Order: sequence, then C-alpha cells, then structure tokens
Amino acid sequence: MATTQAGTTAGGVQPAVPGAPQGSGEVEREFTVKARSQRQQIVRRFLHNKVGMTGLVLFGLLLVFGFIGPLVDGKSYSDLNSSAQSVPPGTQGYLLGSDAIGRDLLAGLMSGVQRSLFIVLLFIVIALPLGLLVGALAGYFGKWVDSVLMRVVDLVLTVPLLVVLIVVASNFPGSRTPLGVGIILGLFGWLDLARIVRSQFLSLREKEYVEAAHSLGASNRRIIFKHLIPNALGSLIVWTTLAAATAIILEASLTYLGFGVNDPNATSLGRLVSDGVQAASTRPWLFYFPGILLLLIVLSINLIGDGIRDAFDPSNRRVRS
Amino acid sequence: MFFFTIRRILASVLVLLVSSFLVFALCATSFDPLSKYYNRNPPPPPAFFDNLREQLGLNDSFFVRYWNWLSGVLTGDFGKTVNGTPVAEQLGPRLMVTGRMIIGAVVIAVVLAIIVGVIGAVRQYKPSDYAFTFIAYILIALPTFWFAALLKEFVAGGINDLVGSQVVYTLGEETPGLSLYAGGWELWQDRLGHLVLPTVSLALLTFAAWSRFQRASMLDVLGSDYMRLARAKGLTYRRTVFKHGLRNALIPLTTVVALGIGTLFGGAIITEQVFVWHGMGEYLIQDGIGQNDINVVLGWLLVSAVFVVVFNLVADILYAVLDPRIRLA
Repeated sequence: MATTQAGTTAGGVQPAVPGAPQGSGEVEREFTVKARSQRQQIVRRFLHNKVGMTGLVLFGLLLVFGFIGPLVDGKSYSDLNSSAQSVPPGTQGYLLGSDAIGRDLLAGLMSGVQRSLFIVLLFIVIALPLGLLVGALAGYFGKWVDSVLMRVVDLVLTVPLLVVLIVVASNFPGSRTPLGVGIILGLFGWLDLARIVRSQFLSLREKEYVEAAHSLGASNRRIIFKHLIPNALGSLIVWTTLAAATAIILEASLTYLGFGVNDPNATSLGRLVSDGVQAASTRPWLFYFPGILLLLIVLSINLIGDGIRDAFDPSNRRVRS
Repeated sequence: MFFFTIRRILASVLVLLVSSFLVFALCATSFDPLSKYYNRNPPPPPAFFDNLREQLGLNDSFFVRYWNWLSGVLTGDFGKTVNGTPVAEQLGPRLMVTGRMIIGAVVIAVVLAIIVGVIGAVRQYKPSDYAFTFIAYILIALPTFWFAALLKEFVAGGINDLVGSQVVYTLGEETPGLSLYAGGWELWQDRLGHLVLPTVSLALLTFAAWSRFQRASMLDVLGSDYMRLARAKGLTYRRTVFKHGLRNALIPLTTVVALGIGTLFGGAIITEQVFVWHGMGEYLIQDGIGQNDINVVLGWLLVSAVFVVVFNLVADILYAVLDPRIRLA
C-alpha cells in the first residue's frame, strides 16, 4: 500500500482546505492521501531541510552550553583569582584559560551567551510589535497614513544610532547594561520590518478574500489580525531570525566602538569578543574562543532563518535581505 | 523621470531638515564641549569658561543656536569645531580618505559577487556551490572588527614574512608624514601597502551578502520562461546564460550595491576604527561625539545623508534603465 506524501515535492503543494476531513481512512481506496494543513506542511518541510535542521541542532547545543553549562561547571565569571592571571587553556583548572584579572573564560562565555540571548529577546519583543504595527497601518490604510508613517521611518533612519546611544548613556547612566542596550536596539531596529510588512500588506489588501471579509462586515481590526497578519507570517518569522543574528553582531560592534555593554556585573558576548581583540597576539585564547562562539551563534540563527524561508516558500528563492 | 527626480530631491531635503533639527536637539541636551576642562587641576579661571561659552554660542537659546547653524549651512558655512577649525574644511579630506578605502573594496566585492553568484546558480548544489555558500555564511556571521583583527594577525604577518620587508601595513592610511616630503611612486607604493588590508576586509565582508543576493536572482532568472525560449530558439547555453540571463539577474544587485555605497560613504565606521583611518566614520565618533561637538556631528550627518539620498536615487533610476518594464512615476 503506497502512501503519497503531499507537500514533499515543490510541485505538490496543496492549498489547505479549511474544514476538510482530517484523513480519509473511511473511504476504501488503493492508496491513502493524508490531508495536511498548511502549517503541518511547513513544519514538515522545515524538518526535512538539512540546512535549517543543522542550524536548529547547533542552536540547541549552544542553549545547553549557555544555560545548563554553568550548573555543571559551577564557576562564576565574577570570581577574581589573583594567582591565576592570564593562564592558558587547560592549566590550573581553567579549561579555556583566564583573562588578565584572573576570571574564568569558560564561565564568562556561558554567561555571555545568556546575556546576548537576553539582549536579542528584548530587541525582538520591542522591535517586532513596533515594526508590525507601523508597517500594517501604513500598508493597510495607505494614503496619508502611509505617507506620514513612512516619512517617520525615513527620519529615524537618518539619525545615527551612535548619537542616540551617547545621548541616552549620558542622560541615563544605568543604560549601559544588557537591558539598556537591548531596549535601544529594539527602539531602532524595527524600521526595515515596517517596510517589509508595508509592502506585503500593499499587495495582500487587494486580494479577493479581503474584499469578501469586507462585504461580510468584518472590521478593519479583524481583517488585519485574522486575515492579513497570518498571511504575512512567513516574512515575519524570517525577519525575526535574520534580525536576531544582526542584533548579536551589532551589539558586539557597538561594544567594540565603546558604546555598548559596559557593566561590571554582567558581561556580554560582544564585550568578551571586543576585549579579546586587544589580546589577539599575546593571549590568543581570549581572541579565538569568544569570536568563534559568536560566529557559531550567528551562523546557527541564520541557518534556521534560511530553513524557515525555504519551508514557507518551497521554490528555490533564497534572497538575503 | 525628471519630475520623479525633482520630487524625490525635494522630499529628501525636507526629511534632512527635520532630521538635522532632531539630531541638533538630541545633541544639545547632552553635549557639553567644555566638559574636558572641568577636571583640570588647577581649574581654569571662570572668565575662560565665560569666554568660551560666548564664543561657541552656548548662551543663546536652543532655537537661536539651531537657526544660526542652519542659516550658516545655507551659505555653505558648516560652522566651526570646538577647537576653532571650520567644519567645511575638514569634511573634504575625510571624504577622500573614506572614498579611497571603499571604492576599491566595492569594485572587488561587486565583481566577486557576480562571478561567485553566477557560478553558484549555474552549478547549483555542486561542490563549488556548497563551498562558496559555506564561505559566504561564515563571512556573514563574523563581526567586522574580529575578522579585521584576524587579517592583521595572519595575512599581514604572513605576507611581510614572505617578502622579507614590510609591504603590508596594519595601521593608518600612509606612513606618518610621508606625504610631506615624498611623492610620486614612493608615496603611491606606501599608500597601496596601507590600503591592502582594509580593502580586503571590507571587500570580503560586503561580497558575502551580495553573492547570496546575486545567486538567488540568477536562480530566479534561470528558471524563467524566456530562458527556455532562448534555448529552444537554438542559442548556445553559454549565450543564453550571459546574454539573456546575466543582464536580467543583475537588476536586483544594482539596487543593493547602490544603497550599500551610499551608506558606506558615511564611513565604514568599524573598518576605519580597526585600521586607524581618519575617514568619515572616525570623524563622527572621535571629533564629533568624542569632543561633544554638535557642528561636527551635523556636518557629518548632512554629508553622509546626501550620499545616501543620491545613491538611493541612482538605484531607482538604474532600476528603471535596466528593466524597461518599470516606470518611474
């Protein structure tokens, strides 16, 4: 008894039929066709995508490293050991060596992963709703709403992020923590999302089902939330992953320029990487380990993003935005 | 197209005006150019501070200060730095330095991106495609300053050891003071040696994202109907790929590159920082933000914004030229 699998080939994508009976086991046939909802198809395609799954497994391992590792390791980054300054990896019980004031690099990397992911989470929690809202309003209502909102986006794009960071840092001395940097990145990171959502909504609002919903008396809010946003979900998820990867690199770069995380109680991955650059030739372990860890995190998130993109759009488009 | 251009420029001027006001307001709330004198010991006399305040116009109200700056800009005067040098005089040399760094890098990145993108698309899922994809992913995931430091450590050291003398430099735009007495070939050679690493670093990192872009658009084109038609007419494969495919596949890249160049002229901030180049990015960070100098920040803002606006416009116009289906309205 052969089983055809809907949705495994690019040509075989079937539109989901709402209300269609799940499975068709009652009907006697030579083969069975299993109905899958669109969501099931997408999840399935992602699970079969080697690139995306590689990224997911790698990301999972890094989560284990960052969040379960400290429990196993039991050391703290804030412990200074004056008798073990700048020891190379593998000596005096320091698996990855220590820095100039005797802090354990391994413990630093673990808490750095935690902090960097915290920054990313904060960034997304702020930027995603903002960009979605602005883009949706501009794209759905058009006309003057669109013009005003898009000019606001243009305006915010011209203000240099560094100037904002400096101004905020001098007015709020506590802002150089992971919390502060995450919030600022979020407040300035939604601009490209707004443009993406706007362009999607511009075409989606002309679709027949929107007209149908209108004529059935659906409110604008219902159309936006029930009909348009679910249809733009693919690009939202893809943006989220790619923006998360960018945020990690951006945090590191800002820290390198002297405008990022500078908090004695909390180190970030960016802090470790930018500190390590000064030690590239003298204490190479401080340079390589943080850099490679950062590379792995960003790489894994990008791979997941590409996998999701392919799952939503099974043709061979892999445009990097 | 003429009216399109005019309208875009007008809209950009408006955005720039509001933006300069916004940045001025932001800076005015927190910049204090006198702060570097506060911790002097013994402290400077109060008359010194009063003088300086008067000189820099800090006693005027916020709106008066902005108006003074704006009316100056309209006559081509960008104001003076806190140290008394006119900003307009400094912007030119800064732009030259940044331009020297990015032009070569952009050219190399574009050529590489096209070659690698096309090869990746034509030979999709072959070992060469996987290899290039892998390299691109790694480069995209690296922070600029870390990659640059890696280049400094290995590439510079390796080449210099191989040649036996220092031909590749890791810091600065030229050996300090060389342009004061040397000229001709010697100066050129020295500058070239300083240019290698920043160019390679910038070129490789921008190339990575662009090559993915080119590959995707080439794949799109290769699957299109007119390519099949061209083959069916009896054209050779090579001819269809280069004559019909490549030209169409270049359109998306054009936009991305034009936008990229526009942004880069504001300074490849991190690359400049790593290699200690005194370009636009360093101007913003050290002379502007570092010295609490509003005029410098605003001068930087205007110049870099003009480049962004101009190259945005170039992107739109090129798009319409390359693809006749698009009409600018």
